[in-house]
Amino acid sequence: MTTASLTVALAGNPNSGKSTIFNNITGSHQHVGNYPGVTVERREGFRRFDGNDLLVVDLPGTYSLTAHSLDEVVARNVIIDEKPDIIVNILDTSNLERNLYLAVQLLELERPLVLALNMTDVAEKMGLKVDEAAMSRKLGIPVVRTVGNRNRGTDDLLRTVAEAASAAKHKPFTLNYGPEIEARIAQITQALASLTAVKYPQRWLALKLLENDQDVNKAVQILPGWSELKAQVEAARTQLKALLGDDPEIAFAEIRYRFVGEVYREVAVAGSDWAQTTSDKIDSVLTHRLYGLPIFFGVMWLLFNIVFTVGHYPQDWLQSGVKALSDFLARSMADSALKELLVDGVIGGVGSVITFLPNILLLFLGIALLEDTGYMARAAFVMDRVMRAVGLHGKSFIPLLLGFGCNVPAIMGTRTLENPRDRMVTILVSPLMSCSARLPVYTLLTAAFFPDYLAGSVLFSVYIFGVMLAVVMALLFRKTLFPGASEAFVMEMPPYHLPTLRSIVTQMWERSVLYLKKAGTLILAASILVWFLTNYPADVPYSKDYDQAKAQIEETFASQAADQVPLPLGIEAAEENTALLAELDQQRKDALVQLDKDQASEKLANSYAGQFGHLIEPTIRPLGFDWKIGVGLVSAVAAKEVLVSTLGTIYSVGEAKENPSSLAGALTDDPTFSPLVAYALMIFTLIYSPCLAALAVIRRETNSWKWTAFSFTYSTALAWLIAFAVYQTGTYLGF
Amino acid sequence: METIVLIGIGAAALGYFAHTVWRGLSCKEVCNCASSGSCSKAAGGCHCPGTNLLK
Repeated sequence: MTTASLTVALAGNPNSGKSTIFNNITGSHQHVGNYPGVTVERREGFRRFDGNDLLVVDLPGTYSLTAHSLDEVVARNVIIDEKPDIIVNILDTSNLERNLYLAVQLLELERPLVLALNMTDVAEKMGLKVDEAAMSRKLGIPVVRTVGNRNRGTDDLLRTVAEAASAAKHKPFTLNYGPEIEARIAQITQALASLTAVKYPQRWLALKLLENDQDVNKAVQILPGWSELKAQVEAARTQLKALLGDDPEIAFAEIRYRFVGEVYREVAVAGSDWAQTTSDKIDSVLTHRLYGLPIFFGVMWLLFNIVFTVGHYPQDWLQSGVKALSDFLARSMADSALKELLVDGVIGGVGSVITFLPNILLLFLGIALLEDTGYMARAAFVMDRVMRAVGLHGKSFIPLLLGFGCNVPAIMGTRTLENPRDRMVTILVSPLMSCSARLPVYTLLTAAFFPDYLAGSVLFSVYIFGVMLAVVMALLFRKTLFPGASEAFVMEMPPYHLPTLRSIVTQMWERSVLYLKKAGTLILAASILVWFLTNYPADVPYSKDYDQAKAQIEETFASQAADQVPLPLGIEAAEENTALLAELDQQRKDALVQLDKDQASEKLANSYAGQFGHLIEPTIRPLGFDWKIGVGLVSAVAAKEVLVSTLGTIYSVGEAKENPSSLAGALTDDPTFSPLVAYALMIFTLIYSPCLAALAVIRRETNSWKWTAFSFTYSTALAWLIAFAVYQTGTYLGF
Repeated sequence: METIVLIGIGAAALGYFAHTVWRGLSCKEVCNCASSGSCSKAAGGCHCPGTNLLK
């Protein structure tokens, strides 16, 4: 950890609002969502408050200090091993009783602790009132009320943290487990006292050893004198099991829950009726066993229709802006290679990607609304039956849903899965979810080849195809590569709430910055490289002498205009004569433009990119793709949007300079493309190799090059097979 | 002069692209602050654990 005067760890149950409070304290913009498992790793931020330099560490949610999943291990390691100066336990007040279990475990750890009763507004709406002063007295620690999403109570919390940290001595908390257990705890504590280099509190360590906590066992195995201690612990566990009639860890948990229940009854006044809340009423419809799934698909269909239809207008404005800039540069710069690089390479490539910013923002607006309202957790719930059928459970669907935004957090989000087999399967199928980077590709092709009334449904079909393919591949992987029993799914349903404008606007802003940053770095670099590869070598052999052909056209026009027009036709009227001349001039211009196009196209075909494209073309011809698409697909392994920028550059370079058209227009004019090819290309882009960032994360999360290579290979082969099936079937059916 | 400018731009683009690919393949880009919502820059750096977590 970085040096600071005070290290503050934010701990708590999943979805208790830790990241929201972290953002409030540090001014960061960490991703937050109204469902468990958004944070899967520690994050740090600084804040200077009342003369204290605070290093604030946001931790993944955990229900207890006995970690099951990898994100819980991260939280536990920070709390236990890194020993922050003070722990702030964020509690979801609307679920106070359950949240207090972790608080009791933290108290037993004998670390300075502050409780933040978060979401008190939600609790009060449910009729639950909590006496924080009584709670503070009962537990012997400071308790502060906060409402994270309204940024209320943050300063009080920080003030309390500073005071608690400066307090010379903390009142120790001891939970009485009853005479039989206490006797064994005392016995083990005494034995531990003789061991040196024990870095944990002795009573806590004794409890954990009696609970047979595997991580603690591993940590103390290296201590001298462990073998004698181990014998004592095993003897004590056997005695307790006989006395209590159950495993000690179960008995300990029951005692803690009993204590939690006592505290809760003393400090909380629940509303008289525990009848159906509004959330329950909404859930009875949205998670209905029959309507739940169709509603989920309906919501997604609506989202993609909005993304396309509403996004179309600002996209057109941006496109006009990009074209105006391109025209301005073309007019104001002298003809040169640098001008071509700027106009065709930079504006043709980056400009074509930037125009999709409104669609991306609308997609993230939709995702943010679904996340913040709490619907995402319901989506996981309704997908549970489908996921269970393929050997996974609904919890696996949460990372997959994250994949609609970006596959990288989706792959990292698999850390919430406790079973390594489930995690591997989910990692392998996560890239099949259409991330936002693929949206520009889909939007471009949909707008170019499908009528407006169908466009939203076409987009939706590609997204849903990805989900269905992920489910089928998960089934296949579960049956072949990772067989084993599936586990029960327990997931908390957070209450619905209205998202705050601040949270939505922040997410939109963050996404815009990230997208533009990517356009200005990786996509810019790729566009420049593609321009060089499509423009060099400078001298390429042509099939005919274009200069001579152009001169021939000029000559023919001059001769027609001077000799043939007035005399043989015998036209006397000047205006008719002018009209005929204009017609001939238009023919001349068309012929010259066609020659320019042919020359540019031939130059492009003989460029380095063209040579490479033609080399790989035979492998993609059966899918209806030509070499240009091939070059685009190879370059888009870096990032999927690069397919659009590469096509933008290739079509800018390959078209006549006199009459530039939009990328969508250029694609429509290209005889290679048809609605069928466009759909096959969307399917291929959806399935084939994860982007570089996703491959890197797969490598890290699996700790294996083998699985990274497998992910690349299987997805590319699968993309080829499915795009082949789509194209050949479509051709056979006459599309 | 124009040739030098073009070479400079091309070399910079190639260098950046190669650097990005190399960082990706060598897993230096573990945090992926630029493209993920799961991990972000705070305190002047990208903070993620460096351990391989799959058991």
